[in-house]
Amino acid sequence: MNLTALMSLIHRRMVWRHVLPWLARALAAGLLVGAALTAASRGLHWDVPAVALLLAVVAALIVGAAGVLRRPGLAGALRGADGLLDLHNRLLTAWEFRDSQATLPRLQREDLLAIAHKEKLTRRLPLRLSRLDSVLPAAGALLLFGALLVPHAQAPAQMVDRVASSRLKHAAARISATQQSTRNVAKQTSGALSALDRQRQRQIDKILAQLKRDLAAAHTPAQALKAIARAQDALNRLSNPQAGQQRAALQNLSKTLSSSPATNGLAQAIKQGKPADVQKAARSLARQLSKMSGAQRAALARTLQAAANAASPDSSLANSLQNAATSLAQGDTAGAQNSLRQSGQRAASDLARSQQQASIDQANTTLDNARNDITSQTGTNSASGNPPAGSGQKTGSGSKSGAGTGQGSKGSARRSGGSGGQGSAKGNGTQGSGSQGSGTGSGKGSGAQGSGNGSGQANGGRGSGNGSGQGTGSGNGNGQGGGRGGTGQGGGQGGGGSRGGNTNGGQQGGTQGDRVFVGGQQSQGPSSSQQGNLNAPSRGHVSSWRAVLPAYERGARDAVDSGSVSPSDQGLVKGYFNALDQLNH
Amino acid sequence: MAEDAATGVDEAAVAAFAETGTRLVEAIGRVVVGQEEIVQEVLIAVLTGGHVLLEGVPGLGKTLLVRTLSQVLDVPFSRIQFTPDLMPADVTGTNIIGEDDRGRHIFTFQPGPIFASVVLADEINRATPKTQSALLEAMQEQTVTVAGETRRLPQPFFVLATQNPLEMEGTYPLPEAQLDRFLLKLLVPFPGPETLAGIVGRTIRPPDTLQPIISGSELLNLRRTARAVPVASAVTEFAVRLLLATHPEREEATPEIKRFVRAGASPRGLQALITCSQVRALLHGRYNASIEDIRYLAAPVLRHRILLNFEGQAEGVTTDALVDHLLDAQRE
Repeated sequence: MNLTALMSLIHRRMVWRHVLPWLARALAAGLLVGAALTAASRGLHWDVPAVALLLAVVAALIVGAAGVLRRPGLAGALRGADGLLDLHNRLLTAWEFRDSQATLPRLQREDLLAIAHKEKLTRRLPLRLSRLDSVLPAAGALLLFGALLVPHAQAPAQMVDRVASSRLKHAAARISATQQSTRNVAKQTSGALSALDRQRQRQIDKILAQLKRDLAAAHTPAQALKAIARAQDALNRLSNPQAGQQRAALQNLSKTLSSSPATNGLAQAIKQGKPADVQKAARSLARQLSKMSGAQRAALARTLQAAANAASPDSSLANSLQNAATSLAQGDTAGAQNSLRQSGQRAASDLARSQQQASIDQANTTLDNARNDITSQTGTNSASGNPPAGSGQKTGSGSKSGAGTGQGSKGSARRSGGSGGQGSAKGNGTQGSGSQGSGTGSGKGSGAQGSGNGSGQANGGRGSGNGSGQGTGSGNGNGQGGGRGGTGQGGGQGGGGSRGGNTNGGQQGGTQGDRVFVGGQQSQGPSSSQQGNLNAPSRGHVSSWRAVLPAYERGARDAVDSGSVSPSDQGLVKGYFNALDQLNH
Repeated sequence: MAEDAATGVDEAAVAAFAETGTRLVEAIGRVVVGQEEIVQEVLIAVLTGGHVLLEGVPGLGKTLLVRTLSQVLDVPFSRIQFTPDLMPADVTGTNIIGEDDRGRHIFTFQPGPIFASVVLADEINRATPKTQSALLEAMQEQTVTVAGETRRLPQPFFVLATQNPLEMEGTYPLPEAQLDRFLLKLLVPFPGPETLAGIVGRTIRPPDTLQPIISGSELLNLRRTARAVPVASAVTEFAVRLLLATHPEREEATPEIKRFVRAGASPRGLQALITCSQVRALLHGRYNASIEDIRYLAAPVLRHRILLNFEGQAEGVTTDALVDHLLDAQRE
């Protein structure tokens, strides 16, 4: 090895000996900065942006670059190696006098090369890190790892914010769907609605649109709940108080009319819920009157009379049908035709208003669900704490309600429950009861009226509603006595539960557990209906109103308790039955 | 064998240096027990061509060391016992009246003891400053001027002076100018137990007879060889920084130097550091001077060249301590 090669080798070695510790320090600096940033993000309310993480890399690069830039030159490296190898400045002197041909410099170079050959100088310059340089990166890595293990102080709040935002969006989507649904109803029923009803329809749409805007602008669950409450109040003001009677009248009417071939078309049109078709079928029936035989007219008159009885909850409709039956029985074809057309128009109007009310009910249900969603979120937001290491148990209470109607409308069920710290949770739900149900009862002869109470069940978030109807009929005219007619079962479609409700976390051992929300799912419940034996009608018998009052009251209170009735209406219903009780006693 | 045209140094001369040095140390060691460092430093001064001031209490072998050195060097030796009544002419020599061949009275120069290659100036601080100053010209110019006539001293020439630090009454401390002319000031320590036992052993047996090892001309050749030893610029820079740091007015000076020092070392101190480091390197089998050599020689070279101020003297600060402090403060 010549002098130049030796110097080059030693220079490289010394540079590496210089740079390696700096690289270790760079790594340590990066890790320590990363650990500090992570700790800051965990301990403070600061979400570390990506650029902050880059800071750790930059710190490492700066330290590393400083080490590289400050690497020793040849003279510095040789001086350092002289000291490390105890060469008494042999390297430096040899390099400085490398071109001298004088005796002593030459001897000095030869002496150095001999020593280098003998003692393997480069082996005496190991690339080892000092203890401090070795420990620092390890300490930095440990600190970073430890900082990563620290739970994010902001994470629960961020999760809550995300969930809240998601819930608000979900609620807005529900309302959009409902708004679209109500618009469809408006299109289908626009011809049959009065100007006032059309105005009401526009107001529904306006309320929902405003609610959508309010939800989009809401920053907190409280703001959203306030907007929903405002919208619900507005919708409740638009509700038709006679809608229930009209719907019941239409159902009875449809069932009665379907018993006669002549009026079956009209019955089907009512059943299908198309107001335009109802009007069309009524006009068609009116045109056919002049072609009917006397027997057919008599039969039709009886059918119309029965229909008038069936439609008694709607006095206008019942009167029109009554007039048609009377005119037909008296041979007044023109009068009967006119009355029939009026009846069709009235039925179509009732049908449209019924559907309008259904859309209001649906919107209210949607808003209930949205409110529950947001309220659930609020409950989560107020809860904090980590699942305990021990055992935690939390019991929650929720309510489950289902509403079934004989018409197969959707009910809703709501269920909520909570879960404890280690996931053992018990949820107690109250079984819902159908708020509405209607059955048709038919007795021998003609069952006049039937009304049913539906009860809904929802299990495990899947709601199924079963409606059971009790019908009482009172007959009149044509030797048809009133009486307890048939019994009917209202078919129910139970709407599934929506989202979990509020829970109050139980505590055990002084710790508080997380809340777990179990989302419900809407489903269709089975629907069944049973019709009395029309072929073998039997005479019914009249029941006292006092006899049927308890059943009515029970059904009404169940409906009120289901939560879909506004508090003011609840007061009205309860007051009504209280008054009846006093009268009864 | 290749000879360096510029310096006249060949490999044989280099080899002879190391070999001669070893022989000198070994020979002196046969008479002077212990004091290896002092022996080595005296040899460094001799091979460098400088004068040495040996300071120590009586009985430590200072005179013995010088006399032994004169025995191994085949050069003229003289001893001057400095006393308060010693006159300059007693050192340099003087003109005396004599008769020539024809009987006329003439002045003839009678050389003093200074006319020797190795001069032992024993207890030099006991002579008056006037007499001490008689050595100035001899030590620096290596000439003696008497009655207007300058006479050259024999070569090689070096003074080995001794002084006793304890009996200071009636002494005349050497002036700074003269101190600066001593290449090294060596403090002869009191020997340890083993050395004392060795001294006893040498006392009770017949003394060794020493033979001259090198002649004066050979000594001059060795000096020339030593001057050819390469000194890296880093070594020179270190010596320069060290020397400048002894000056309290310089920015290189440390707070301690500024506080306790009145004057720093002269450029002769720098020359001494470098030339002595060259000799030491060769004595240690190296062909280059090193910073380690400078560090080793810093105290004997600088201790008598640094002048303490009143505070330094009052605080009992030693120049050796200041030199050690400077060496610690210097970055290589």
